[in-house]
Amino acid sequence: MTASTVTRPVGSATGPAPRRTSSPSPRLRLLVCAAVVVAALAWIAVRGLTSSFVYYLTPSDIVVAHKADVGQRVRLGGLVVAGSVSRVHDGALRFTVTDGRRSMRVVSTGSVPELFRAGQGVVLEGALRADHRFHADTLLVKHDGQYRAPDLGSSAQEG
Amino acid sequence: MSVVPAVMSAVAAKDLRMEARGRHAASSVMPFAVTMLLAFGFALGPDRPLLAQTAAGLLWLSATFAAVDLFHRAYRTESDDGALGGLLLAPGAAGGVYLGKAAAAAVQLWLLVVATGLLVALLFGLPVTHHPLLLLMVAAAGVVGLSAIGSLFGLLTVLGRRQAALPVLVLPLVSPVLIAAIRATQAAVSGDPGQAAGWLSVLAAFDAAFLALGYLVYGHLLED
Amino acid sequence: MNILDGAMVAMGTRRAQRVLALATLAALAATAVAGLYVVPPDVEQGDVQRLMYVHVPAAWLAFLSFGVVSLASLAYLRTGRIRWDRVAVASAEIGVLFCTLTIVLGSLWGRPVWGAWWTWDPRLTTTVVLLLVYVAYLSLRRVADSAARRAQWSAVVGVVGFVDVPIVHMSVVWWRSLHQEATVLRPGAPTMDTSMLATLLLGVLAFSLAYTYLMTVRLRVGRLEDHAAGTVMSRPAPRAGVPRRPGPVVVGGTVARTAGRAGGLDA
Repeated sequence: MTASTVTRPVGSATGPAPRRTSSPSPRLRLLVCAAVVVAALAWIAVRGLTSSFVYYLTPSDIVVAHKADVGQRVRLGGLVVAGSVSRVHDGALRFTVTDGRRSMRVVSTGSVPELFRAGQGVVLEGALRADHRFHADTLLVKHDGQYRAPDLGSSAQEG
Repeated sequence: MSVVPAVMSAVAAKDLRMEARGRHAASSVMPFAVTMLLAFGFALGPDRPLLAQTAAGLLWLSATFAAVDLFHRAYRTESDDGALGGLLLAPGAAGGVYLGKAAAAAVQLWLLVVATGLLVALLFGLPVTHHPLLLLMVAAAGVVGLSAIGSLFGLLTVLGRRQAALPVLVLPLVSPVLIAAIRATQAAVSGDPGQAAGWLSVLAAFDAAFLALGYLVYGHLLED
Repeated sequence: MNILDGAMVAMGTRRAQRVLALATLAALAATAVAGLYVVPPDVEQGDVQRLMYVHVPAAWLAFLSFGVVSLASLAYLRTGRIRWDRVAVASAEIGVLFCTLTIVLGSLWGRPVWGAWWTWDPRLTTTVVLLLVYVAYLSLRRVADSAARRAQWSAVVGVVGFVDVPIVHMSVVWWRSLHQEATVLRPGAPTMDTSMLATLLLGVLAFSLAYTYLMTVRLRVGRLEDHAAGTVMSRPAPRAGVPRRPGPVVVGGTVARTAGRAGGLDA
């Protein structure tokens, strides 16, 4: 390539590393560009830290604030209410999720993870239908990141 | 500092003049994007709500794939008659050439996105009339991001004997631009200008980071 | 720089490699025994949770490898020393391997626990984009038709990839998250049993040892490849300032032996 003769002086094999010659001083160019990159990354990070991310809607969001229209595909998160879980003849799983203030009845047709149980946090993907139930096709368990060995004897929980 | 803007504008003007006279991109890249949009339509079926929901994504996907073709083409015309070597003879010109190439590609891509956007509005029912100005800005910020990465690595398709697989290299790197542009477009058409503006500012930050980085490292791609 | 040179030469000797190999094997075996038999199963997840003892170390290793690629790429662009290119490619290959392993193991773990092989969570998505960037990095190296060009190009990708990763991560964070919070690196006490934490740290140690071992082997192969090709293209004096002993290029396998013979010419 002709370009190689430009950017790399010949016969520099034994000398010190050659400096590329360019009209803005290389150091200044490097500093300015690095500053732009760092500033851009910082701006992205700041926006990330200051925005509050909503990873799923809660039952209150849907029941009180009406953040999801009927038929609109959303994610719904909450705790499975104890004693609400039942499996009906068509194989769908029915249960209620709550955020402590409001609750919502759910019909889930997807596969059920091993960790699904009452009191567990779940995230459902689906839509609210006209029957005021949340019809989910995907049921994901939200693990809390706690790892415990089974306690011997008692069921005391630390942590 | 003086030579870089001069080189940049000269290269950009040259590329745009070539395109205006030859219409190489318009005659192949644009049909490519349109064909892709039709293919997406066939793949998704005639379900109108579904098409409207996915329209923003399809628009940017087709723009991205078409852009990969455009970057390759932009350097191919340089290398066919050895013009690239001459172009880079000026000392310190590499950064200017990069910015010029990116600017020319961005202008062409912007026109492409606007044109295909209108087509998407017709075919898929994307409501583009709510915030047209915002959408034009999102389109501009998106294509600058695509061009910043594409014009950097597009160079690799013409330097060696074997051609680098440009899509493999470019697509993962532009994924943040793609995400931000799609979400900004979606927000703008669904009547949420606040969220669209938020995405737009992030998109602008991506653009700045990629352009500064590309400007810095472009010269290194030429060394051997 | 001299300390680094010294460390790299010391790590490259046959004795050091044998010690490293034994230490790695011992640590991996200890992790396997501890993870499978000694540590009790998690109270909620049961035995599936034991995947953590390989999944988390593999992820740590993948990120470490890609971090090393970025630093070595930067160092190459600054100094033009071919050694940094060898470090970068060695680390990239190991990183791709362990990143794939991380994703596969995470997938196997996620299916029973979350209920999905894959979910579009920021951390998962970033990891897979990261993998794709470095797969592209390796594929680009096969395209370049000269060694110097290969080193320059891949160093550029290494640096751009490094800046791209936080951007990818932040952009996908604005999607929706399902991954649990970082358990170990969270301020305050880790929410994990001590025995589990100990096993996890043992796993991290074992995988780090494996990384060091694989790096020394791959670096030696890289050196021998360059000797064999007769191309030593560091921008400063090819052999003057570089403390590379010409004669005792320690050779191991068949490839190395033939390469060593070819390399002996310039001794």
